[in-house]
Amino acid sequence: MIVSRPLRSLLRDKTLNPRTIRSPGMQFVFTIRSDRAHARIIRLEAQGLPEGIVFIDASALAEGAALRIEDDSMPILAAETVRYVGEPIGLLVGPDMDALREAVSCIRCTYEEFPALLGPTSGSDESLYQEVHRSCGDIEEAFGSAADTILTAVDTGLQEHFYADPHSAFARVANDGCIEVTTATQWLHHVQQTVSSALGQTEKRVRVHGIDAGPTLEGKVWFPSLVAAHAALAASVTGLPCVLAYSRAEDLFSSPKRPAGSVRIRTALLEDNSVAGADVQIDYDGGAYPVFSAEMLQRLLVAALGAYQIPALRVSVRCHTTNTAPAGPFSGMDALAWLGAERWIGDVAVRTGTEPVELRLRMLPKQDQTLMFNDFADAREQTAPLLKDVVERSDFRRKFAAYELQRKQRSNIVDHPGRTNGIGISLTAQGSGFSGRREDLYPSSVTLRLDQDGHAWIATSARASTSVIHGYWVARVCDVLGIDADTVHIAGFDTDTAPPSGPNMISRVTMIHTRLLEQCLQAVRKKRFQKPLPIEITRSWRRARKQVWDADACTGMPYPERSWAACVVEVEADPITFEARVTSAHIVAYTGKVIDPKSARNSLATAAVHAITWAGRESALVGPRASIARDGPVWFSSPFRNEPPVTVILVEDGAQANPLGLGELAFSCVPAAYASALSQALGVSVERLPSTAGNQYLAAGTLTRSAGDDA
Amino acid sequence: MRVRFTLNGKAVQVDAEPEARLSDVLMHHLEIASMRQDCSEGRCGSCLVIFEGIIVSSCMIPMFRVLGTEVVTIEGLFGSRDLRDIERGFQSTGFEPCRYCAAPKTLLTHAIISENTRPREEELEVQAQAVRCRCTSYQHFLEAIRNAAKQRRSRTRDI
Repeated sequence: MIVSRPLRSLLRDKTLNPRTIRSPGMQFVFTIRSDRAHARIIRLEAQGLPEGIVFIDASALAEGAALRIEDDSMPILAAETVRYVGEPIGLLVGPDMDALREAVSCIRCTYEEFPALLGPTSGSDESLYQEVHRSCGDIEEAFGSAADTILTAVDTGLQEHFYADPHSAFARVANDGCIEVTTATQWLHHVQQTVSSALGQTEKRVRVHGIDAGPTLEGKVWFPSLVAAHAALAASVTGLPCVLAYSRAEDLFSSPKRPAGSVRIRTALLEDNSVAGADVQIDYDGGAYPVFSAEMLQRLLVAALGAYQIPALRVSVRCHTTNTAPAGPFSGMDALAWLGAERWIGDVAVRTGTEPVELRLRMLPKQDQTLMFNDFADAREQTAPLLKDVVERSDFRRKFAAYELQRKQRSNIVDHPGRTNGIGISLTAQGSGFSGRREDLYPSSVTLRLDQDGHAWIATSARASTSVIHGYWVARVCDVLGIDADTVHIAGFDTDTAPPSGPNMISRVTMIHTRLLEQCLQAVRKKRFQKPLPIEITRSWRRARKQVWDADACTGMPYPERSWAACVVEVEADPITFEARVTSAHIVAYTGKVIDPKSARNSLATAAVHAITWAGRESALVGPRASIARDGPVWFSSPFRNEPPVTVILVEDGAQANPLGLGELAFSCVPAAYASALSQALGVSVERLPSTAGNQYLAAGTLTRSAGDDA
Repeated sequence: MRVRFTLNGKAVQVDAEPEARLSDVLMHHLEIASMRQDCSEGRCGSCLVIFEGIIVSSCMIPMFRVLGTEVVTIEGLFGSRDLRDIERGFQSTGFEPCRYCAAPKTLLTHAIISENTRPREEELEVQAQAVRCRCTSYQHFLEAIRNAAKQRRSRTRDI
């Protein structure tokens, strides 16, 4: 039986809030930020600081200090150039927070200002950071023989993402001279690396105590490393314990944002209405300092035409660097590509007059085909039943036909007397874990130790947002080793105890670490009565060589595992206010072995609600002078009371012994189905998400295309 | 000013500015570990306390208003049967709030079902919006409150 963490232990845990940590001599830290989007720092100085307050700038950092993720990097404090409004340039440290805020007026920074780019420059290489191109089939011939072409366009805006816990970190110099840092993070060892880089210390001299980040929509992957480095630098310079805690407003203003992006797909249609080829261009804004750019490019490439097979395809994916906040929350990293692909097949359905479900089934790979850019030979086998199931459960075909009739009968939504309806469908996937060999860069490890007293310890830095995964691990240890649950322990979430495991994302933890624990368990079981206790086994993730994704040839399996979902979303639109409300959502997902059905369904349903807000409400506004607008905190706009009923059906496969991950599925399938449904309800193609009332009004008024959609 | 009040059944006194927020004082002066503060505008529900028997956002309560009052945080429920009811209700729903909102969601549930073990749906739907953490869905939270109320009714034989 899987036992989740008791509520009372969660409530009583005093280590979970860095804001309430108090220590003798404790200092507060306040971050000084750039108010320019792009400028050279000519002079930065502190004049007339009150006694007891210390100013720290980049000169206090170790040489070469930076926050690094693969080949991407950013300064911990800007020294010469600032690249976005809100970029940290210095720290004020003192015993009283109010005094620090007043002391901000003592900091003078003189800039030489440069032109700022607030979004990718369309058709220009000015902002280009990295790109990948791939093609298969003869694309030129496909367009040469085309009887008709279609252009599909989708744009997504810069978006805030909400997590209830503004960033914070506590740091102090321990008695042995090591730096100790406490922070909520999804990536314990990256905090250690970044702090050691900032201070010029070896990683062993930096100890990090992690706090479970919880479900933050990946908002705590890398940014806590920057906050922790600032707190650690302050503690190192002053020799005193320091706490750095952002307010909600500061967090909103300065934290990473979900990147803006665009998809353009040009499609060649033959006389018989079949698709001869498609040319896909995907662009996204990595912000001032793109991170995980290589991974993003790969994921967008693989998902470029979704689950569908066509004779010729050319894909170009580009990451741009601009003067907006760096991209951060990566839930549904490839959601932009899935959205584009599903809108594309909707456009093809409209133009060819094909029923949308039929078209999807027709364009799935045939039995002997594989997907264009990867090698999942069983894609059709897994996905076709999902599509059929979700269609049946949601009564899609009947409703689609009825709403389509309504749409054709009304001349214009603005003149319509009552609410209008729409229904949309999508088929998308989630690649669990990092693509290609990247999993090897972030080695995942689990250690299992069986002690002489019969107690078992599981050590890993993998933490899921739900305790069910840990509960399942404990249950497995009990089952395999035949010991009681109260003798099985999950070791501490700190760098002294836990082996490195890369960034924590629920799909990685569920899929990779559960398997590693299983391997440890089998090894301990074999050795248990042959070798004296204690027995300690560590297993690290390595992909089978034959599976590894070849990024140049686009062969192999891009991810360690992949799960699929088919989704139907129904919406109702108000012709006066242009507000849209989701009335129901159905998701049927193939996710391999399901550890705990109730928890898995809840997890997917919660993610679906997040995805609906992402698609319909949560825009981050870039205000005057390129800053994120501070007023109107967008994160309060979650639908809550209007939250739609979400039906989740999980399809298990007896042959699949492992969980495949499902946490991010909703971010690709729900927005795509939502956009289709909204297009039908409004009678215009929704080409921009988040699709706010204003966007919808503009689309209805300015788009000439009035054809329905699947839309 | 010196403010004396009752916190979780015990008399306490603190020196604070009259307009200081109760949430700040609870967090920084009285080191209440469950206390969170997020929006500071009374909208997010992270800092809920029971103030004079009513559930409120403590970031909106100035300290001059706290003089002589009774304040309950989640720590005030530790070891109580009331908390066990809620825990069972949450568990039977499979409802698992995150570390950040576990305290306010539990306290909110306690306030709702203490006032009425059979909360009316329309009222429940409004009240449950008081905590806006997105770690769980709203519908799931509603179900957890209903199950906690069921546990309370079963214990108090209010069947």
